[in-house]
Amino acid sequence: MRCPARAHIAYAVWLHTQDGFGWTNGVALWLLERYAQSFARELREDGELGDLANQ
Amino acid sequence: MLILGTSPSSAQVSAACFTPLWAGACSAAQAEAAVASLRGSGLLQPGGVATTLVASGQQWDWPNAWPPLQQMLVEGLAGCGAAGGAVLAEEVALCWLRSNHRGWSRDGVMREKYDATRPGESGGGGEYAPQVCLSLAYHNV
Repeated sequence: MRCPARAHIAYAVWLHTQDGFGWTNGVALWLLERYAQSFARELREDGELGDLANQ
Repeated sequence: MLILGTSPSSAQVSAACFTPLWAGACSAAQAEAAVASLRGSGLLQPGGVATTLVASGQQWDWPNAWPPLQQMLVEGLAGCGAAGGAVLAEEVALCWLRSNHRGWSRDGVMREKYDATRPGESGGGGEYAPQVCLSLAYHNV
């Protein structure tokens, strides 16, 4: 199952190749590998998922 | 050359003080003390862990938070085995992700550094304009 939070930030996979600030993207992805479920739950509770809430 | 054990220690509180957790260089007692110390340090903010408590205006100081330090702290806390380490690791991770996500949702960019006290806001200071990833591209995975 796709995690909306992961999808929301994972555009960074592409950005990682685009310039020198892959570290922000890389760290975000590394953290999402470990905490995606709790982060998604937090976003849902905070109402910050926006259009992705129904994915 | 820095000679560990003989060079004087800085009295400044810094996120770097906790990187021995990541390096696996702490005893169990030291790890437990480090977890408690980080929690009470004032460095942990809503948008992640700030570099230091010194508001110098430089990019390596308060209130800036940098990605590599967050990663090292989370990994170190999660793996140190100390009571409360894993819980604090998750807190740091979620604070950081919240800041990344909030900033990107609003501005469409990921930043090289953030303001730890204001999730989603860019960090500042230093000799150059804060850097961003200049793309609005969205890739679903």
